[in-house]
Amino acid sequence: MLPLHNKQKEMAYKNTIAIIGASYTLGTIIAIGISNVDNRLLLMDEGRLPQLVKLRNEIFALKSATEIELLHCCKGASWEADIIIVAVDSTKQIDIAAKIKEVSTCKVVIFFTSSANNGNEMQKLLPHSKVINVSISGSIKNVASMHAIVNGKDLQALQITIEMIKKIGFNYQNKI
Amino acid sequence: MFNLFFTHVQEKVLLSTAEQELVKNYFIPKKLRKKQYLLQEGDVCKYLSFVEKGLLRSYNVDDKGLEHMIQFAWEGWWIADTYSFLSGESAAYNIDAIEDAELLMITLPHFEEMTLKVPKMERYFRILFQNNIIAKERRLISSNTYSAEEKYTKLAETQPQLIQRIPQNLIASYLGITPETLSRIRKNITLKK
Repeated sequence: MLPLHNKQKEMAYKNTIAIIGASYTLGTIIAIGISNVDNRLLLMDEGRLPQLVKLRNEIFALKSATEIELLHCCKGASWEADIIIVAVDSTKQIDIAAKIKEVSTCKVVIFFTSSANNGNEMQKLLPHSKVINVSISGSIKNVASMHAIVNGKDLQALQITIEMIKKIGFNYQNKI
Repeated sequence: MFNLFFTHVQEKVLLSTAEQELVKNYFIPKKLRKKQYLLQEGDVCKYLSFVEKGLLRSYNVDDKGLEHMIQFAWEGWWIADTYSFLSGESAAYNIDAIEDAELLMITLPHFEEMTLKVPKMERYFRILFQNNIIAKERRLISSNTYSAEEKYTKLAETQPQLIQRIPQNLIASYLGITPETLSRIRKNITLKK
């Protein structure tokens, strides 16, 4: 058994990151890329529990100490999170933004999309969040060949996003 | 989400609907699971947190690994390492959740901006800090003057919810006595009744 002091260190504060759309290809790449012992991941998708369980097992096989919770509600996940990643199809992002608006005030919300970016629209939908848009291009089968264009106003949120993108392994371009 | 918060604020200052809407934009809504940390000793306390739901505690850990309770915070209470929050220095306390919790958290820059834009909130916090100073002075007096049994009796009188809701070992730590002493005191009180 660990002495109390070590036990306390082991339970240190961890950033909680919600990934909405975690069970789809892009969400899965992001989840695997950013998972580590310093983060707590909330993997969220509606009605796709088997795929989330599979992803959790995959992450545990790579990084067994990662702390992961599976959720089916985007509002609940965003409420619990410090940082929110939205990795769903761009046609669903407006709907997600409406659902999480109330619980994402002052939080970093990163919208990943594989299509042309909707620019400042998401920031208008979430006026009190620190919104970052990330446009992804390239073959999803080869992470290293993928490019990310990062767009957002809040410097701290941009920094957090760029660090994440580096961890995932995307090439990135900062479009301030 | 802000129901209890505004009830609490309105007991001290009256905010218009527009002011309430403005105030809401400065707070981070956050859910915390039981045993999850909000702050760890040595980190900077970045948030002043209002408890909408649940129960939290602040405490420090001595060299022997023993925990010493500083404060409990449940619905309607604020919690932070105030010195660390205001000075940006490292926190001397840990804060974690005893029960699943829903919080409204504010950073220092947002706190400053909010109190400038809504001066009634400055008055609210002035009253709050004033009450906090009084409570801390009373606790110091209690700690220096009262016997263990008197401390427990006073606590049971002034904060009965605390006695019902918080595990006995944590109450003992809060009173600065051992769980065995607390158990003996409780037994004595029951016998007297």
